[in-house]
Amino acid sequence: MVLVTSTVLVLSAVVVGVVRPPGGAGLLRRWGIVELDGDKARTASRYLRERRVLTLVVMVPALVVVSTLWVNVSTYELLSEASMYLVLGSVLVSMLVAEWWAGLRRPQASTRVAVLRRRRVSDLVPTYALVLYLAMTALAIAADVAGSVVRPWAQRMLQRSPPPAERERPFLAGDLYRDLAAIPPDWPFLAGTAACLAAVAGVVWLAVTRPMATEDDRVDAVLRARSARVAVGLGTALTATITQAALARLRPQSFLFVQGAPDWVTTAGTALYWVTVLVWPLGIVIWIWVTTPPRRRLARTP
Amino acid sequence: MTAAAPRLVVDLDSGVPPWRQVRDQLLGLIAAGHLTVGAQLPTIRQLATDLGLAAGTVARAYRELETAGVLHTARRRGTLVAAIPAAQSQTALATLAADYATRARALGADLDTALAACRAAYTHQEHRQ
Repeated sequence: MVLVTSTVLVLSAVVVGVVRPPGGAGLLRRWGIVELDGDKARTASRYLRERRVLTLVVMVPALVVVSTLWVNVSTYELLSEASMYLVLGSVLVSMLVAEWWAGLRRPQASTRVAVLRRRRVSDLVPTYALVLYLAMTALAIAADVAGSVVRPWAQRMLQRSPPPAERERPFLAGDLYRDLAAIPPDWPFLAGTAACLAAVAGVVWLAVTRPMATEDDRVDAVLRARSARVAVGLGTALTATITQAALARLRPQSFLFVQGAPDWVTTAGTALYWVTVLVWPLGIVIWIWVTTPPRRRLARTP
Repeated sequence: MTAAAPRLVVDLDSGVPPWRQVRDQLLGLIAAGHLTVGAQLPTIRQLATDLGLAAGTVARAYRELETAGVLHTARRRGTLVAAIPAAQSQTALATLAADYATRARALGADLDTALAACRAAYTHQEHRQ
């Protein structure tokens, strides 16, 4: 509960302390809008405030549920992989809710303005970002499917040849059967990947289709682009976390000591090890890269 | 910097039905050259959402302009400007003709001379093309 309380306090401080008009102005400035006035800053502040409050609304109950259900989970574990799912997933869900909420908002003034330009996904998210995200999703699915195919094969191999004696493989012999038997099913990883894909697609679609947040089409375009790019970046990082976990569950080190296994298993195991090590940092780098405002491109935006 | 996209303003208190405001403004923007032939328009849903109108209201304006041959809807490319509205181009031509007649008369040219000059200008431009 200490973790929950401290997280609530930190997030509350963020929500209350940061989102004022200067915060909105800073957001717009970072995204290339230099001619700022009070209305633009207020619009951006409202955009930020809504998303941060919703993040709090989604994340705090999720934290409480997780810390209640996983009483025996150590703080280290809660701070590592599980917290990545929790934090990134909560932010993604809150973004989805925020865009949906913004989509419900209709113009109230009797005079309404629309810009005669058709909006597309490619206006908001660069193609390379979508390709990287979809590639990461494909890797996650491949890892999940490979896990469900490889594990039964490894178990058959193990049953055919007895495990090495304890004195020969003191660290692995006892773990070999236990590891393979204890691995939980793959479907939660597949479900997580699919849910992440659905959430990202939902945020991007809503960012394209929702009504204008302001009559200033440049500010509106910036807020849409930010939502879509942050969602794709977050989705990539979250999927990278799932991919790493799915790849780690392949446990190549166990298969390496199966007697009679083909030679390519060793090579594949080494390659798999490096992919497992690198995939998560790669996801974080892509997240930061995609989410960082593209100054030169935005400077050309009308 | 690319050119700013044209805007459409609907005033619900003006007494003019919103679909007519949308239709007339689109006609005006096309006739004035702000929307050229081949320009892509927003989808009905996008325009209706941005203006806070029912999709049917915008659809009616688009349908009227499609019937008049000003807009064309293709399955993949969406709604495009197909042609400059005939009535609007006739009006623009009449304005130009009136201006030309005034200037020709100021130069002392009679109708035949003015028509001959106009014909010669047309012939000259056709040769250049």
